[in-house]
Amino acid sequence: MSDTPTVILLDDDPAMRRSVTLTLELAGYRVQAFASGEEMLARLDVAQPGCLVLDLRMPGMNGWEVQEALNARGCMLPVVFISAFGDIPGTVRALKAGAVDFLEKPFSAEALIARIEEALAVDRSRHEERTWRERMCRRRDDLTPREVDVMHFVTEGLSNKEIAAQLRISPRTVEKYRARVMEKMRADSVAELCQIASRLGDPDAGPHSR
Amino acid sequence: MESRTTPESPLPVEDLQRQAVLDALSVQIAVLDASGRIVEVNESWRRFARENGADPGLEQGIGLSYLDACHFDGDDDPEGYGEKTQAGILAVLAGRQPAFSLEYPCHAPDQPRWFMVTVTSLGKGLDGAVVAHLDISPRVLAEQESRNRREEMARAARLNSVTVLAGSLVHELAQPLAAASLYSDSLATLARQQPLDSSRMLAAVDDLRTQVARAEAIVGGLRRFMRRGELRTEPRQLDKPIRDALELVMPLARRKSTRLEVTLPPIPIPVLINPLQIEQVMVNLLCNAIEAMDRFGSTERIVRVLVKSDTREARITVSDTGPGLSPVWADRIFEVFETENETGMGMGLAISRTIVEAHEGRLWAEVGTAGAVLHFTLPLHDVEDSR
Repeated sequence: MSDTPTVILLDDDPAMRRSVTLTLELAGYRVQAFASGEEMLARLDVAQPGCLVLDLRMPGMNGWEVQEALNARGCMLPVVFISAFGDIPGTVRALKAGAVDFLEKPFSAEALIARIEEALAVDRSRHEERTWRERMCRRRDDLTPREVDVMHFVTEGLSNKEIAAQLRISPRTVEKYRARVMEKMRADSVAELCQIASRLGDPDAGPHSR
Repeated sequence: MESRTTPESPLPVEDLQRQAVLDALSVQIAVLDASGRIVEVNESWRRFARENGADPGLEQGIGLSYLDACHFDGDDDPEGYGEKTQAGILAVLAGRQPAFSLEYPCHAPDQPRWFMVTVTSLGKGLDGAVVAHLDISPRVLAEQESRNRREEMARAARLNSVTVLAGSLVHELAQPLAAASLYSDSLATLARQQPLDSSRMLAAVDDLRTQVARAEAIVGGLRRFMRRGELRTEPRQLDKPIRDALELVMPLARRKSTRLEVTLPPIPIPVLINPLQIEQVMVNLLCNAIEAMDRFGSTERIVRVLVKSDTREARITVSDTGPGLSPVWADRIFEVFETENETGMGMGLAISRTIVEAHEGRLWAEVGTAGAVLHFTLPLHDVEDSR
């Protein structure tokens, strides 16, 4: 696995593979080309950064079947679809499944590169989001069940006193838990803690009340 | 033996009667002796000679060598009709064959005409032969007219097939155009780089040319298929129109996830055909198979083309892995207005059958098979037998 983003190309037409590869390599991209969805699924490293360029209409697995298979494997790479005349039903389906964009054949190198830049930008921001989320989840996993409860009520806007009443502990103990939550989550303020919580979402929805 | 004569003529009554019978016939007749000299002609013969400005000697013709009269100038007779007639007469006079016949054009300045010459031995121990020229222009014109009409119908059906193929062909055209567009953009990029990498540029030019040629082949195939067809048949190898049809239908097959499997014998199969019309029959059968499986939603989609030949005829079989034909449909699919789909392939099949039958072949469907099975035959063209 490398950190340089790769454009992963899937097209059954050898001339399309060659010409797209040449165009993208001249523009400075790293390209990995596959002739069939089956081959690509067998060999693709889904964790690498980059984007996918998929031909919609191919014998064997078509573009959206490949996209669905990749989604099922947790591949988050953004997809630029290459479509042609009369592919509108497929286009709608692929857009619903999360395609970033479409290019209708024939297209210019400029249009191709513009779509790929957008796709790579989406991948970068998704990647940043994922990294942040993993970091925050690790921090939250460090919290004891009690600390999780306290964090939940704090971010709901309850005062120490109210939390103390809810959990049937003293306000001073709440204060102690609260300081540890701030420290473990590395939040400088309650506002920041609230922001982290809302961005992270609350998977369990509710305190660990027993 | 004493012969009876009439007051007006010194000739015996039998001769007069025979002459009257000959003159009453609309066929132009000349009777030849054993050496090929004209001994007698009829009124039709004389009238034809008069009306076509022959010299007075030929109008009567008596005593002239018919064999010499057959000897045309090679420039006027590129097909060698004169020579063939001469050979036919000699063969009949020598007793090598009882009769000979040949159809030939003999156009007047104001109208096209065709004749059939027949040479028949006098037989019954008599030396010599009867040469008869019959005007067959009405028949030939009617045949041409029906060929014209058939080709008009065939062209209408071809244009109809094109509407079925158009979407997939446009799709197919987009591939080389997209690749060509990228190669030209890449060439522009390469041209701006320093130092110039000319070998990489030339490689891109080669790739670009290949894609342009690929697009041209697609357009060329379509243009050939849509053009106004020739009316005449010509000696051809059967594999050519079959391959042309497969190439035209391949994009549709790809689009409908259908595999085309072709089995052609390794030896060439000579046939006397109108190549465009036979290509059309193939396109029609292939499209029918692909569309039927698509409509039915078959999971396995294969169209098999099998070409076989024996000593008399070639047989082309197109079978598919679709739902097959029910006995009810097997005959009705050949009716002009019967069609199982909106694309009007029923009309295509009716015309395909007309085309095949005009080629002296047969087109039929098998009943009760797992997938649809259609066959058509074409008689082999004997290269020696150039009638």
